Amino acid sequence: MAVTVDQIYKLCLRIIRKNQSGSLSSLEFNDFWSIEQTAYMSDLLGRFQRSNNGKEGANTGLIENQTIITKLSPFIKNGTIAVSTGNGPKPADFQYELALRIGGEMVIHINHNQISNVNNSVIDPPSVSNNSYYCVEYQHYYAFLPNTVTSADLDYVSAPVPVLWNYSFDGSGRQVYNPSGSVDPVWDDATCWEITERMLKKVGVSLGAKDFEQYANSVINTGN
Amino acid sequence: MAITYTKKLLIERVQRHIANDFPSAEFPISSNEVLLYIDSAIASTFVGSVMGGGKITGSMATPEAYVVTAQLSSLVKNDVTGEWYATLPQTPMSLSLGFSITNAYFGDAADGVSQPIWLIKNKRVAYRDYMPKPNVVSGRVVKDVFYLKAKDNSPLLNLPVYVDMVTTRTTDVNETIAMPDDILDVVFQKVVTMCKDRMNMPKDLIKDDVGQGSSNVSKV
Repeated sequence: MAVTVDQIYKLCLRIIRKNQSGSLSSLEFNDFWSIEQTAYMSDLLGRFQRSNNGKEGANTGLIENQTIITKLSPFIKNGTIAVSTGNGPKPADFQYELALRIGGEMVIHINHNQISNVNNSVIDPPSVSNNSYYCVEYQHYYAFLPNTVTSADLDYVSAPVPVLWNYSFDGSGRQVYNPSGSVDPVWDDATCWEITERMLKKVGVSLGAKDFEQYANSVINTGN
Repeated sequence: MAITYTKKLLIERVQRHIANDFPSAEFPISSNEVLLYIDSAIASTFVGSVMGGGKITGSMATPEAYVVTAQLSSLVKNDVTGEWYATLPQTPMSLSLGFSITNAYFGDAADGVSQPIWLIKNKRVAYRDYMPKPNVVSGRVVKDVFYLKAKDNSPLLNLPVYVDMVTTRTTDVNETIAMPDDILDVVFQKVVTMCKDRMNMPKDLIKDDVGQGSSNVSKV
């Protein structure tokens, strides 16, 4: 049974010991949780250059181990990019590329300043017949070489959809959870709870409550 | 399961050895590059083994596993020399005729196979022209061109020429590799060494978090 946004909101209220009309409004909750799940995804995808510019060691990028890929799997999608004159736009919910293929063959990422040499290559020139494909990235699209390709397959991590605790009003004008129109998170249950606990940092800042911040920091650092 | 030994197999074996896994799109050495390393390693290993074997046994020999039969394109007459010529599949190995090209002949389904073409070194052509010889066709090689001449200067138009020669280059990576198995290890080691040389050169990565075993990222 997947965790619903209502269960999460109720847990939050329980933790901060506020009732439904307390300081954590549903709007705040929606914002805090949605931002926190994006931050959590960034943690999984990797944070860059925390230590140095050598791009080595921990915290440098997506570690594609079984645990992380399983956590991200609800967001991993396969899509086809339509390519026109060599340019293929990324999907609107694109977050991180996992693989790029054309006709089942790999597409090699090159630097922009390698384009001329790749075009002049005699060993691996861009070629449809030889399945030699390259790409660089501009703005929100890929530029492919050779520019005659018409489509590409993209495996990517999509951005999480913001959660929404939808409500209606009871007879006393209080907000009551309305499953219809609510948006539940798609993370696995354990991750939902962890994101919820991490979110308390923002709640703590909002309420000026240091104990929430410390608790959330403990969760971020130790997982509990 | 029987595995067919092809150059494609060897390419994959090298790439998986270096990546310690299936290579990803970030693997910095393309299949064509590995193939070039393999082709050159086979060539140098072949010549080395023939010369080395000659030193030990006293007689040079071309292992048959390297030899591939190729049918040449239609013969064309050179109006200056009167010879007929066709292009070989590749430049011959740096060994004498007889070792680089082991045999050449005409053949077709109707008439069968001709007498072997006499392979003559370029420097001996003038001398041989004044030597008695049977009524055969002689051949010489310049770079990758095979020049043929009948003793009586008969035209060789439309005669299909076949050449048995040591072939290291690749036209089809899916063909069974023309190389004895005892050389596989030498070729593999040579190619891996070349690749390791490259991997040790500092280079930035386009995508992040390629494992150290399969990256050529700077250790700075």
